[in-house]
Amino acid sequence: MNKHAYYQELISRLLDEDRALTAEENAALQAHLAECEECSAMYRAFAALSDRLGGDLAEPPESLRENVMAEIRREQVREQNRRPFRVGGFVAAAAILALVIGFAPRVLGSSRMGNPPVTAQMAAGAMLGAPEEYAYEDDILEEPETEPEEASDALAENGSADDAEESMYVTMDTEGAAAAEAAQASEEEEDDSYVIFGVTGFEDAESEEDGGAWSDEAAGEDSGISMSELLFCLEGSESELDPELLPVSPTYLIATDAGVVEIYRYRSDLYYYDPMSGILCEAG
Amino acid sequence: MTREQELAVIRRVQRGDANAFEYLVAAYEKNVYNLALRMTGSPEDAEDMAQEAFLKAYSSLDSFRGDSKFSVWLYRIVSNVCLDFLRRQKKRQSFSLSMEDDDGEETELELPDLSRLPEEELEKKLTRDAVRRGLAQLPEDARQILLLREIQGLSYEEIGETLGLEPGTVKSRIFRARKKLCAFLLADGNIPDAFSSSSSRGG
Repeated sequence: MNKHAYYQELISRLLDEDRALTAEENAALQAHLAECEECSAMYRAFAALSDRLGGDLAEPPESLRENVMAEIRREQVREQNRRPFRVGGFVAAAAILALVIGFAPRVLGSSRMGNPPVTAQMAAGAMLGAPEEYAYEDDILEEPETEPEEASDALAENGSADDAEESMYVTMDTEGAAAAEAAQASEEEEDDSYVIFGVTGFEDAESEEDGGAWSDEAAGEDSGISMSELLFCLEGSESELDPELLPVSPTYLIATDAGVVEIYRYRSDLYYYDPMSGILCEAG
Repeated sequence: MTREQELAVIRRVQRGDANAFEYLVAAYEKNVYNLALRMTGSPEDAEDMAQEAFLKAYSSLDSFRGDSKFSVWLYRIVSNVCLDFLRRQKKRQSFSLSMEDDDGEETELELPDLSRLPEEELEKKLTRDAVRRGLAQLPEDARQILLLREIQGLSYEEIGETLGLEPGTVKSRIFRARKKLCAFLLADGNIPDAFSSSSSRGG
């Protein structure tokens, strides 16, 4: 390495502020620049290049972000049509149970929902968008701890029913409902029982090595769905949603021939969403 | 966005919250776009490449483990997308002042003599436009490494991580890229006379 090459290397380091020069190196460089026109000129030229290259960044066109996000949303819809609850790059270790239950008619005391339903498998399949790929066990869901009769005014305390509705619109998982409706229209009604399916058994996303495996053990606790599990399932996020927005997603979806009814559990109470009035009604 | 917030957003996207990706686009679109702009030299191509890079980043985000900076990871994607594009285009009109030897390593360029260039002259002649035209003349790999340093402000180590090179190699390649850029500016007539006369005095 000749003398100039040594100082040129120092110049590089000086410009790139990468590893600062030692006091000795700096002193040597300054001394050399003072006496060597060539290196001094190179330093000026390189510094000028840096100045012209950096800074003064152009504003990206607005269409960039719009197009990126539009394409991503299209891609997400395609993904969801292919695979159930694809969460990030892996399928969450999850169990989706289709459950025929006895308490549904009581929960859905309203005449709006008093219509013959579709089967559990059909409804769940519709929600997942892939009915043929997964087999569901029909279990009898124990009546949840919830006592609908003792429903509190939790929602009312939290604001008007309209507020609740608004929150739901923001985050509600509507694709599943739409899909279920579509499937429903194309299927024959098969029996008179109501169908409710809950979501349970979500493992933490960290266990992605097990990705794609449905968790059998967790599936047993079908009546103990926690809101965080639900949020993870439907929103892909466990804890980052504003609690003010609860209830965020339906705890259960009930398929009837009038459409899919969304049941929300808020605190210990169940509510159903009435699309006619656009408010949450206490169930029971 | 702090690094912690950024990681939280990334985790959200990894868990399926595609909408959260917009935070990352918003945070990096300017740098990504400008990197693509300098690489391709055309606003239209730059937008296409930036979009492609973001979509690639989205679809491979699961492979991002957080052991490097997200920005470094992202710029590598942008950089590679642009390089692929430029190579596909095959309409590169640049010429190289150096020959590659058998090992694919470039032989050293003669350092242009900058010594007669007064500072005021440099200021006047060396406009941003001129530099950008010169940049377009650089071979893509030289342009890439120089831009990672100058536009994105990555360290030698980060560039090495991005390109799979040793930091020492990064440093010498950046140095060569700068020299090359000076040489192109000279050949282009952007910096007349002062640069061009005598050959380098050895030392």
